Amino acid sequence: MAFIRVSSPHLHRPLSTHQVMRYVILATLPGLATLTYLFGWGSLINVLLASAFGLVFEAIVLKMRKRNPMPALKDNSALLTCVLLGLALPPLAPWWMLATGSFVAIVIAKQLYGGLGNNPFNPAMVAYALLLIAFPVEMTQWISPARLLEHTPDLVSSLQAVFGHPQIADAFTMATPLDGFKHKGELMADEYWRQNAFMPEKVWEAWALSSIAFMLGGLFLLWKKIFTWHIPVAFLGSLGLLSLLAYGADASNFASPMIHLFSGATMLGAFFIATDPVTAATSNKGKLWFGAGIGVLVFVIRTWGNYPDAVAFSVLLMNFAAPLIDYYSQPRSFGHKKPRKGIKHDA
Amino acid sequence: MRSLWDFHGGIHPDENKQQSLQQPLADAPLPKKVVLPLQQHIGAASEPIVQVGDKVKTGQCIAKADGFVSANIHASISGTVVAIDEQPIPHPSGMSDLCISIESDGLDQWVDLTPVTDWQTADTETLIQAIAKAGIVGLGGAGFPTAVKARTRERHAIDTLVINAAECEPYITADDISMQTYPEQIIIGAQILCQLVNPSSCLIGVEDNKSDAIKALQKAAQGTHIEVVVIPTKYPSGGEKQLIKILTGREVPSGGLPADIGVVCQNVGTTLAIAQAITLGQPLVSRVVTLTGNAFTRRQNLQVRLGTPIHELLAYAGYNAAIASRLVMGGPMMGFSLLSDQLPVVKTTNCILAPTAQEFPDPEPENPCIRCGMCEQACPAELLPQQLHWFAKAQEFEKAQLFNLFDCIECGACAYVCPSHIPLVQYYRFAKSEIRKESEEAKKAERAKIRFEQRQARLEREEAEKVAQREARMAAAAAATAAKKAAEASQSTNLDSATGTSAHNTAAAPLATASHAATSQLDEAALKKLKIQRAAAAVALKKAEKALTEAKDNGVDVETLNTLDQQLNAAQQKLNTIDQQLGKEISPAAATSSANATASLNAGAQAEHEKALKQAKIAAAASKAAVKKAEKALIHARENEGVEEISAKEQALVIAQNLAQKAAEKLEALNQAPVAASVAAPSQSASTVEANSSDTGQAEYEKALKQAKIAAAASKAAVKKAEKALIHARENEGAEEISAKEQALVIAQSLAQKAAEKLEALNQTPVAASVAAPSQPASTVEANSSAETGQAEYEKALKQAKIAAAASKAAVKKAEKALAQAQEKGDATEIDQCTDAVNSAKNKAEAAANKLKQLTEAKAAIVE
Repeated sequence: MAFIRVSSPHLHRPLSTHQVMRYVILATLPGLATLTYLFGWGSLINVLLASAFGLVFEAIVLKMRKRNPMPALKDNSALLTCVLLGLALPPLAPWWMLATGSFVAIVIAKQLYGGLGNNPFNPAMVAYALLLIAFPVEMTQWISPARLLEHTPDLVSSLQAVFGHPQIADAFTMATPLDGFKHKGELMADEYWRQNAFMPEKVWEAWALSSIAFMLGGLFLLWKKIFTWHIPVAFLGSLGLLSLLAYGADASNFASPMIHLFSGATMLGAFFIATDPVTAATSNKGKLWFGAGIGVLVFVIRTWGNYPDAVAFSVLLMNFAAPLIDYYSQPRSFGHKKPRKGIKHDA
Repeated sequence: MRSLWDFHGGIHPDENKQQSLQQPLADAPLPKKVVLPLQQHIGAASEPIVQVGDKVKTGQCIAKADGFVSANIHASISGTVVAIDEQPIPHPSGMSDLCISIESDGLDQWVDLTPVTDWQTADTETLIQAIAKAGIVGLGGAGFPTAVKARTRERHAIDTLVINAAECEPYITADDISMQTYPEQIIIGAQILCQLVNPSSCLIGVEDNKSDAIKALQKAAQGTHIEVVVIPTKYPSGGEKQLIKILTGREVPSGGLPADIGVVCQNVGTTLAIAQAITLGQPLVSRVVTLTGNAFTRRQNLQVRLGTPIHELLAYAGYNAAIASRLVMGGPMMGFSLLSDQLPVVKTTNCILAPTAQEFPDPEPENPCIRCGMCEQACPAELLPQQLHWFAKAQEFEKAQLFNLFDCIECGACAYVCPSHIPLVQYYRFAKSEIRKESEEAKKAERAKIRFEQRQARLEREEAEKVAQREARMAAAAAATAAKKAAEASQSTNLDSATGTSAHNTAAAPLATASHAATSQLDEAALKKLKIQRAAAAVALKKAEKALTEAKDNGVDVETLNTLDQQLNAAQQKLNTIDQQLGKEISPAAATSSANATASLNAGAQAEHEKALKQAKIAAAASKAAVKKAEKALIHARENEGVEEISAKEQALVIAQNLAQKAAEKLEALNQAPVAASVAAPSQSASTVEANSSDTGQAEYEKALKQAKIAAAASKAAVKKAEKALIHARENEGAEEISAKEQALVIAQSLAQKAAEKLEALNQTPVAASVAAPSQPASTVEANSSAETGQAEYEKALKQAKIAAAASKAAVKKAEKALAQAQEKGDATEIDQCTDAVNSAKNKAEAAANKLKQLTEAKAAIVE
């Protein structure tokens, strides 16, 4: 034996970054399976294609940065980013949107900032926001739940739709509940639901089911202590509370808390997007502020903004605020009377 | 059931304690040789009291505690002291330190032990002395001298005594086996501590994974007020602060001690050692060490003599080097890896860990931090470890301190959970040591600053004393003048008896002065003595300064530095006192010497001298004007022109300054000339005429003095103006302006200095002459010789004036050249400025020429 100099501690918990990432990817599977079951092959194709593009881009950019790409590819972080991007994009999105999204997420939002751990903004959400602004039509076309259609697009036609025949996809798309509600015009809420007779039950049901699937995945991660409860609870809590207040005050003009919480990207965002540790606030108290801020922004943008859903923008805006939150949300350290706020010396 | 509190964070690593609990506690074989470091504790290293070759017995004190926070060290075997030298000691850095080596005689003969048999009734001091004598220190890891801690009650109100038996580190079972083997003695130890600390409650905190130890302790504690408290197993509940929080709910304030919240905490092993020291009189010569890890075939706890080389223990426990991944002293969480097995067991060694690669694999490469926050959830000090890591990595130490870096207890929980395998504790150690280094350097700088200021103050004081002496001399001169006048008056009294009475009154004055002078002479012996004392004090001061510098260079500890500082201050104060006494003594002494001075003055030579002096003054004034002009031009150039112009003007200024300097020197020489003259003149009989002529000289001198005073005042005003301008520039202007004005100030100051010096010279010179003149005028011969001296002086002045003229001509030429260059360039402002420079140089040259002319004319007059 050589006498080696090793710094304490000598023991280490058997949990590494790549395993953390793998847990998160595994936790998305219930959601992905539900989406595939309810909306056809689109989401699965999205996820696989985006992942392939992402890994290739990651390898290329690391080569260009003169780094060994293997450790980075093995840490599963690029894979996770692209899985989340694939889940967020509408099923049957054309391949070039997936390529563009993966490029923006991996090369621009992550590696140009210095790679894993150094990116200030959630890479998947940067890509999503860019695609939403650049291709608004493609991004708001969500496929109808399979059970509403007489014949669902099979795997072959799905692939055809993705690779060059978007008109195939057009035949299957319709507005999402959030989108529909956004564009109900002058109609009161109950009138809107009445006019779109199938919407409240079947579509709503499909969205709620996939939301619950994502929530289950998130609860699994909570149980595994991959992240803490603070961000999801603060996010869902503030969004639920605000929508409940609005709905209670004026049920005919505001969407119900159920629609806010169980449709759109709320659950995916609360458990998988906002909890990205790299770009979130870090202390427990800070995470509460961070999550609550996202919830408020989601409600505000959904209700009064131009976009039907708002998770991407809200997360990005709170990413901006995370360093500030970090400075002002330090915990009270052991043996101190009160926590320190900011980075100035005590007067 | 006592209510327990919890602390934030903590981890649950595999305990791995059973391996070393299969065997009962056993004695390790006697070592053949022990190596006992003189510093096995916090505080000052012990002072050896044995010599190489001495025979020692087991338990004999071989090194005494040195200072309040220190501990005795005892021979752990009987034998011969074979060396007192530097040996490698167990330390994370692998450093060496002074150790006493003892070779065993194999007999293990003990000294006579003196137990405190009646400890229940013994007074506190007896018990504390016994503990101190036994060399007991905290055996939990820190090694703080126990006797010092036992005195806590003298300064703090203590209500709770906590015996730390948590032993939260995985693998280690030394405390566990001690509790199972010696529960009664531990309870006695706790009772002794209670007697010393006098708390209202005594709690023994044990983690719930030590059921045998808990049972044994509870049984032993029956009937006492000592409470065995079982706490949940969680690392690091054995941390002093954490255990106190669990048991009492109180938090030791940041940077504070447990005593601040009314708690004293002692390790259970220490408690056992206290019991053995008091009831058996046994000093700390051995301790329980856990040998564990899968690279040992025999994993167990051993009672090991201090100083036993680790390799002897390894051999005894069946250490298999082939499968060991490393060697660790201490536990897996906070222990440090050993770089050799040739190291001794010391008082704080609780475990030797020899794990295999399966148990402790080589550390994985460090990955980037993903800010996952797992460290934060694990941190028992409620810090933000990953933020601290970013700050340490970026060397943002100030931010790290603001995020309470120094509350980190280096428990390693953060690094244990880090999925990126970042050696976080290492980052914190680095940041802490850097910060400590910085603050140490800041302290040093502060000390140096204070010393500099003191020295500066001393120099100023000395300067002030010099001035005071000068003033005293002047006063003496004035008194002498009065005496002279009185003498004159008395002379006239002889001629006119009608006014006799009043004149006689005036004549009393010089008599009084004379008598005063006589008494002053008596003081001279005392003065001499004082001067000798002063010299001695100055030498002492220098020595102290030198010692301090050396000490700082060699990096000794703060205490020594402070002592040296104090010595230095003392030396300085002594010097000051002597200086003050000296100042008091010198004033009368100066008066004496002044009054006693004798000289005569030749009227003709004096007149000649005055003339030359006048001319030289004119020359000096002219050259000063030239300097000023050149300065002005330079400043202007700095503000408006290019590098070449500036350098040209700087050269012009230097030349002008040189000229001014020479003129000033000449003036000085002339000023001093009469001194020589007056010294040369022997004291002889007087005549009224000469006295009168002397009076004329006196009048001339007064005039010159007046002029010099005016010049000095003017130059002082100039300095003040320059200072004001500089302050203004500092407030409002750029760096260039400031530096220009700083230079102007320096120049003005040097001018003022010269003016002051001249004034001084004038002040000192004629005094002696005028005092002696009326009573003892010179003969004609001497007058002639004096005139000759004046002539020589004059020649010198002439020569200098010629040189000045030539130099100023050269300056004119240079300035003209610069002008020509400027004209070639065609820059209007440059041309203007160069024209100015040429003009000023020309003026200067003219002045020099004038001076030369005057001197030549003066010569002609003399020749005539």
